[in-house]
Amino acid sequence: MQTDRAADRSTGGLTLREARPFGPLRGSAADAARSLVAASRLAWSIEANWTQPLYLVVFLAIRPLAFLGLFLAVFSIGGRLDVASIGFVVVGQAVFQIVGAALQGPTHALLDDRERYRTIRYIFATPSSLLPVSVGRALVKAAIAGSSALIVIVSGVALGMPLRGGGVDLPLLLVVVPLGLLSIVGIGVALGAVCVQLRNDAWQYPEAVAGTVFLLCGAIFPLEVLPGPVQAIGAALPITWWIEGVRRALLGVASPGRLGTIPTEELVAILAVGTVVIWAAAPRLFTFAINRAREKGHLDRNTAS
Amino acid sequence: MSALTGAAATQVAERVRAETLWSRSYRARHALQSIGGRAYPRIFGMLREPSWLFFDLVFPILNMSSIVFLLRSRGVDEAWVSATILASALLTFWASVIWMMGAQFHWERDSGNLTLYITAPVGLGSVALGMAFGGAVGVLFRAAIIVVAGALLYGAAYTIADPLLFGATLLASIAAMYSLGICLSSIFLVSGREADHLGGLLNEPMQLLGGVYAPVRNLGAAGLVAVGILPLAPAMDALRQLALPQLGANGLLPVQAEIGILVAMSVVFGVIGRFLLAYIERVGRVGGKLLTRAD
Amino acid sequence: MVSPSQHEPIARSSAAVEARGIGRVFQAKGGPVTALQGIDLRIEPGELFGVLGPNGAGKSTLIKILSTLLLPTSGTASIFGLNVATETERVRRIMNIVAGGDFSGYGLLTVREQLAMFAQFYGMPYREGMRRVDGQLEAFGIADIGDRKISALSTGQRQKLNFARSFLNDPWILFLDEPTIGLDVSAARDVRSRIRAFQAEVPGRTVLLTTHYMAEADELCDRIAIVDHGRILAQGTPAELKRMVQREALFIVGLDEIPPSTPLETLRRLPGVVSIAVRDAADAGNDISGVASPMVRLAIGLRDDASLAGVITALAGAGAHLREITKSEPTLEEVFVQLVGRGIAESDAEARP
Repeated sequence: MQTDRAADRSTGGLTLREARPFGPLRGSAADAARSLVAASRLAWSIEANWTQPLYLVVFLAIRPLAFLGLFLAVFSIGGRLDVASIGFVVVGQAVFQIVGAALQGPTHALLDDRERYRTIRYIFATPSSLLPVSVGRALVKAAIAGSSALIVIVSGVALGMPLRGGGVDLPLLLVVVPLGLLSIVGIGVALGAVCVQLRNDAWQYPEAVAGTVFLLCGAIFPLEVLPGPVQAIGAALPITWWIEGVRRALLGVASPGRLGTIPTEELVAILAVGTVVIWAAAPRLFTFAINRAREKGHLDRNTAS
Repeated sequence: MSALTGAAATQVAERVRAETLWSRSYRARHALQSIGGRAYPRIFGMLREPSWLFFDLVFPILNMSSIVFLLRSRGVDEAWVSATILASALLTFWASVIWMMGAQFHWERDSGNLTLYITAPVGLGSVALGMAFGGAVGVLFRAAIIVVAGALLYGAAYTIADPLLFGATLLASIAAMYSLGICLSSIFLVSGREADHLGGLLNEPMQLLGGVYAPVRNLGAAGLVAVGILPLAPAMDALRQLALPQLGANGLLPVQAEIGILVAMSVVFGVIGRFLLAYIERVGRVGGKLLTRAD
Repeated sequence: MVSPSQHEPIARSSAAVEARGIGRVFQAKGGPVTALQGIDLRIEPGELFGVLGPNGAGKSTLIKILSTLLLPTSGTASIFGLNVATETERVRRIMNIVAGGDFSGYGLLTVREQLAMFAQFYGMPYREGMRRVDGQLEAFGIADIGDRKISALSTGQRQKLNFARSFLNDPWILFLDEPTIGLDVSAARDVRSRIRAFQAEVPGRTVLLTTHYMAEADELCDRIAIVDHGRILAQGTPAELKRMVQREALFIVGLDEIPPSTPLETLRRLPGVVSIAVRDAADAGNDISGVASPMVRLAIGLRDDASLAGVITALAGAGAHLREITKSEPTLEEVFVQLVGRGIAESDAEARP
């Protein structure tokens, strides 16, 4: 039916089926893929075209480096700024650049489309779901934040951060980074759909969530520093395992504390299970929240006044 | 047609022009009224959205907690934990300076309010002062809650030997920061699409340069420069010395000198801010893009 | 408020608005864009003056210049003799502005608080300001939502709030930029009736209205300027403008049928008749004589109204049964089409990028 419907819709002699760049994909899968690509292109235009390339690079470097500098400055208060500590903080900071962007990106994209560009109603009225649109926006934000992460790591190396003997563990990196990214994008898009329900605070929730995750995931200090029950919450976050995986891949050493005692294979398995669980739940939560927003008329309103 | 012509028109025009001649005292009262008018939504309007208050507190407390746990993981003197809480309280003012002063006219332009300010007989300087006054009063309340939260959560304690001097330093700090905020409001207006990103650049980088969590003294020459141009630096350095004398050795300059710098900053930034607002209005009227939203 | 000791140093215009050779060029990426050129305008105190034109014609640019938001790149303009470029503070004390589709305001404030805030900005003592706030809320029929937050208002309520704000300082000149855009019929009617009442209260209060609603301009305005591509193409009262496209009196005469003994050729030869044609050709069928039609409407162009008598006498004498006689006025739309060479909707479509 989908195929027939697509073939029937013709645009000046050129059927939509012919116009589709995804030959093997049909129906909703093709719509989703096309939406993902279109949303990614749009996100790139919004996120990267706001200024000259030079300023963009400066912006992408300055803020994360200042953040890193802040934590290193605090480290220096004790007068014991060792290279192992630098490595610990640098990797945590670098990964969290991506975490923060992917967590906040979908909410900001949905709210921007609703309130600033006023396009959400038109996107919603297309045959494709808002889910691939949100994923596309989140992925581009995460990719741009990835360049900040790279800058932080290069700076860490310049500051004397010791890399893993024998080079970076690329296979481990290639497993944990996509898994971690997937998990955080899943959380981000579900969070975005939930935030569309809210009124004035909608912009701020993802930031609060990111701040909480930052506190709990052992990005700049070991989980053991946190009170006992809070440690358990931290250990349940896939981001915690993602950061630990990247630390092991780049630095070649495990974190101090209990997290460091988990074998790498087990760590990867925990991260993979967490990602699967998130992606089993996130689309359902997304659909539920968006449908609820539609029922309540939240998709077409402006709260910024 | 109800048009007036001839002598009737002349008479009306003269009457209208006479109404535009406001005495100096009338203008002074109008400026004060305008400041109060613009401060009102900041002080009372915000109370209508308790959730905003919640978020205004959540972010600083989360940031503060990260630093506190980091410090504790390093096993440093607990006085630094108290200093971190003081810094978080001061940073609520700084966040307000960036977003509720710097970015405010930029947002007001998009909402259409700036057009109404420009076409009203109120100077942008009065509006900016109203924003500053209302913002500072509103944030003072939040800052106090953060200090109390820090004391309850992390046992922060302070030894303020001279409350009057501490109060004066805090006042001078707030004045200097918000004066800088008036300057920033013009700069944000010019920066267009880059305004949001500019706000980001004024956050962590300025916290680092301002020696907020770690003493500005540790930054060496850069710290000295920061104390001279960035209100956060002398403010935090002075407040830390006054509230936590056990950390006094980490101070860069004597407190009195830093108060002097803050007062000077208040005046200089105030004057520059006023000049910039007048300049922006002039440039906006010439170029046609700065003062009204794009249709 | 007034300092009587201060004197006016120079002889000034008594016009509410006087513009001479106003031009405005914007610097854009693709090169300079001319928004206005050579605008000459004089609006007397007490007039309700309309500026009619399609999107992109320069209407809003003109309002921005006159309301001190924008400087002209050439020419001068004054409001009650005060130069809009150099005496901005004084101009702002006696004017106000409303733009259609404007969502300004602070969502957290109530309607009353929002107006009270602007009363402070307009320089009113607090009690006087509050008195006027309550008065305007009553006048616009929104007193019942005085304690409602701005963020909870409908489009119509927000626009009424905008109008209430603009009337707060009793402006001598009110600039209305597409003020009824987006309003429903009832809300637009309320707003128009308030504008008329506002003007009637004090002689000399002047309104400059931009619109591309022909009926609104026709209904409200004492005089109208039609602008396109930054130029004024014509200005005058609605009647004067309509006369520009109608140099003869046009009557529509409804008959049961055209009497066979008096064909149209005979009527055309009557004194004073300029033209005559079957207007409702569809009703008349394909036959130009119109025999098959239950009623035939003739469009008769006459040199003057008095010539109608001869035509009616001739038709009655031939046995025709008259069913209606109406004098046909051209619409502003027709004036616009004649001046601009296209309809306003068409012009709007062209103006869109």
